Order: sequence, then structure tokens, then C-alpha cells
Amino acid sequence: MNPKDEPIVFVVDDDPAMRDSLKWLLESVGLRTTTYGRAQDFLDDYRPGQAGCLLLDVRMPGMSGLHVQQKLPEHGIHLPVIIITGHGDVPMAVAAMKYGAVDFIEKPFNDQLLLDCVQHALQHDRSQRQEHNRRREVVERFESLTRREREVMELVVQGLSNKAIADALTVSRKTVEVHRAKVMDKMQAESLSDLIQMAMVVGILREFADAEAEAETTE
Amino acid sequence: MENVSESYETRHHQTLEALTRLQRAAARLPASTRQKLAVALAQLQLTLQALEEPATRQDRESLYRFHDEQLELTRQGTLSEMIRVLGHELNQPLAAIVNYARGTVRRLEAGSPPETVREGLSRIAQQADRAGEIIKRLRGFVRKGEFQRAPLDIRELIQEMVQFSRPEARRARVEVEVRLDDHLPRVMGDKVQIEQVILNLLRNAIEACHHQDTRQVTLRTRQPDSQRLVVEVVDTGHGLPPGDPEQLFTQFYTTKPKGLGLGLGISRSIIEAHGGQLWAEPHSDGGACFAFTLPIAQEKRR
Repeated sequence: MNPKDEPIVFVVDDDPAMRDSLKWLLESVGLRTTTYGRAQDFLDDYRPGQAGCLLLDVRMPGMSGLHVQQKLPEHGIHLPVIIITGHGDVPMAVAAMKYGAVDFIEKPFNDQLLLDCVQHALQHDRSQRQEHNRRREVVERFESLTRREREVMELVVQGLSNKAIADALTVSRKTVEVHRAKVMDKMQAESLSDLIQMAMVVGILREFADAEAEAETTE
Repeated sequence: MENVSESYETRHHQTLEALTRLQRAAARLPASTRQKLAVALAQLQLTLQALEEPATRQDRESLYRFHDEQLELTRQGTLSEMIRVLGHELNQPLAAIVNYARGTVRRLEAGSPPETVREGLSRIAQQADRAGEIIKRLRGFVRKGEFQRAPLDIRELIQEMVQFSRPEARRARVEVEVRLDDHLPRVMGDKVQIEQVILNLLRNAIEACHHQDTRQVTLRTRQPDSQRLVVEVVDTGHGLPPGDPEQLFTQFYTTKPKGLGLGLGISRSIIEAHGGQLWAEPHSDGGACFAFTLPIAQEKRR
């Protein structure tokens, strides 16, 4: 396994005892944990692509948890964020969720609740990462196609027959068949429906993707 | 109409007596009214003082006593606020204890060696101590102490007050830095009163940083000679208001929207009663520096 794929729970809290005790708790269930007293140290230290999640105390001197959260994208950090708030800090928690935190947890908290939150965030990170990788691979494959192959692929996924494609591109049917086989091979598509899904990923089948999304929301 | 033949001393004495009676009566009033009255009385007292500097030792003592009492009222008024702040602060060690304890239980269940358990327990004990310290500080605030002078560890006092104002600093997103000399001599003073002065300056400094880009408060000490220790509270706040810095110390002068304008005047009285000085000066970085001196305790060498 790539070392970056082994998730790390990052803890940013200005209270030394809080971060040390969180590390103690998280490590007791075998979670790799790294702690920081200042948000800037975390931002400086984070290696892009490292899997994991981020536990942020909402109130810190210097840079508050909410501020850090907003700064993550510009640092290319897409980790799920769990915000830790003091008792009764509901407005802060609401703001944190608006900025895209996956969860918030009130201090002092039940350890099982925290661990569940962390596991959930790590799961979220994992699937986000898998999805991201899958998309990247499909895009890379698509980029390896020649111009002509892309044209053929666009028409294939619109459901045109080889003959219709040949007419549209004013080439022989035989040529279309060769290109088509090449496309299937290069895209590593097992079937036409496979190829259609990939076409949606790279965005050459916008109408289909939108129609499907609509169908899903109306379900 | 006042009798012009009456000497100033007589009038002064009568007024002081009236004030004392008022204060006694005030003790029976509800806290909020009492505080308003205290403010009014302070103004009266200050006017009196302005009329003529209290020449006699008795007058001066009476003035200090008044300030002490006023301080006590302020202390009671902010007690609920303090309990709230301390409650918040207690949450930290308690949450840490829970984490350590649960983590230790999980390690035990997973068959970790006894050293791990010992480590966990010792960290729990540490945090319990910390919680105890916070409670001790609360007691120190509530205790109505006599004006006592004893050798004080100023380092400890400063650190306690910084700790106490931490939630406030966190809220205001102000970084509080403590830069103290390694070998600080002890100073002579009343612990509760000196704490009050440090806290007052610290809170002012934190508040002054509001809306500033850089929000930093630094507490430091220096020792200009063998007699005195200087404590400085430096902030990167909005700086001193234009004009004479001395106006800051007059009662009811305030730049804060909700300030009473009493804190600095009271703080100065306390420090002066200790034989020290308290003053303000602009800081080179644009903020302000509030400094006070305290006499160094002359201790026998051991």
C-alpha cells in the first residue's frame, strides 16, 4: 500500500492536554495520529494526497478552526473535517457545517461517539479518494485517444450504429470498426454501457449525465 | 448653603464620614444597585480628592480602603462571569481526563503492557491536578482577604492570570505570550490585589487588540535595580488615545463601549498603595505598553 494511503488523523488544538489525550484515545484503537498546536504548522506540514481526516478545535488563538477550514482548499487539502466545539457553541457548529465540515462534536464528548465520527470521516475520505482516482484514470485514458478515436467514441456513446458513424465522418465502415475496437481497448471498456459511464465522467455525455441526475433526484 | 467659616478639614472629615455611612447602607442593597452606587461614590470621592490632595495619612488610608471596598464590589459583580469562564476552563482538563481514561481502558482490553496503563493514569492525575488548580484559583477570587503583604512569586501570579484569561483571549483570537526572566525575585504585595491589577491590564490589552490584524499581547518583566521589579503588558492594539496618557487614569475615562472607566484608576491606586507606580506609554509597534513597578521582597539569603 502507498504510505499516503494509510490514513492519519490530524488533530489541531491549542491545548496541549487536549491534543495529547486525543492522540492517546485515537491510538488506543490503532489510528495513526499526528497533533499540532497551531493550524499553520499543520498547513505547512501536510503532504498533498495524504489520506486521513482533520479534527479541529473551533476556538484557537491565531487562526480559528473555521478560518482554517476555509483555507484548506487553497492549500489543496480535501480532508474531511470534524469540528470540536465547546458546550453550547451551536452557532459555531452551524457555521462549520456550512463550510463543509462532515461533523461536529461537543466537548466533553463520549469517546465512542468521537471514534465513530472519526471512522465515518475516514470512510468518507476513502470513498472520495477512490472516486477521485477512478475519474483521474478515466480522464487519462480518454486523453490517450487520438482525435479521430474521440470523434468515434462521442458518436458511439450517442447510440449511433457503425454505419451511421461512417456516414457522419465520411469514412468506411471498416475504418469505424477499427477505431471503435481501439477505443474500447484504450478505455478498457468491457461493454458499451461501460463506455457510456466513462463518457459521462469525462463530460462528453453531458445531457445523459444531467438526465440521470434528474432521474435520481425525483426518485 | 455651607458655612464658609468651616475649615476644609472639618468638611472633608464630615464627607468621609457620610461616605462611610453610605457604604454601610449600601451593603444591604442588591448587587446591581450596589455597583451603581459604588461608581457614584467613587466619583464623589475623587472630586473630593481633586479639591485638595489628601494631606494626612489617615485620609490616604481611607481612600485606599475605599478603593479596596470598591474592588470587592467589582469582584462580586464579575463573579458570575468568572464562574462561567472557569467552568469553560474546567472543561479542558475534564475532557482530557475522559480521553485518557477511555484510551487506557481500550488499551487494557487490547492487552497492552502495564506500563501503558501507568502512563495513562499518570496523565489523568496530571489533568486532575490542573482542574484542582483552577478551583483553587476560584477560591482565591471569592475569598475576601485582608490587605496583606507577603513575598509573592510574580511569575506564578502572571501565569495564573494568563491562564485565567485564556478563554477570553481565545474568543478574541489574541495570542498571549509570557516572557519572564528565569530568576525573578519575589515581590511584596497582596496576592489578590496584584492579581486584579494584572488581570485588568491583561483584559484591557486583549480588548484593545479587537479589530486589529495582529493580535498579540506580551507580558514581560525587567529589573531596573535591586529595589524594584517592572511588569509590562504590551499589546498590538489600537494604541493610546491622543493626548495626555494620564487621562487614562482618571475615573470614568474610557474608550470602551461598555467600560466604566474605573479599572485603570483602581489599578493605579493599588500599585501606589504598594509603593509602586503604574503608567502607560505608546509602544513602538503602534500598540500600547502598560507598566507597573512593585518593590522586591528583601529576603534573607539562605
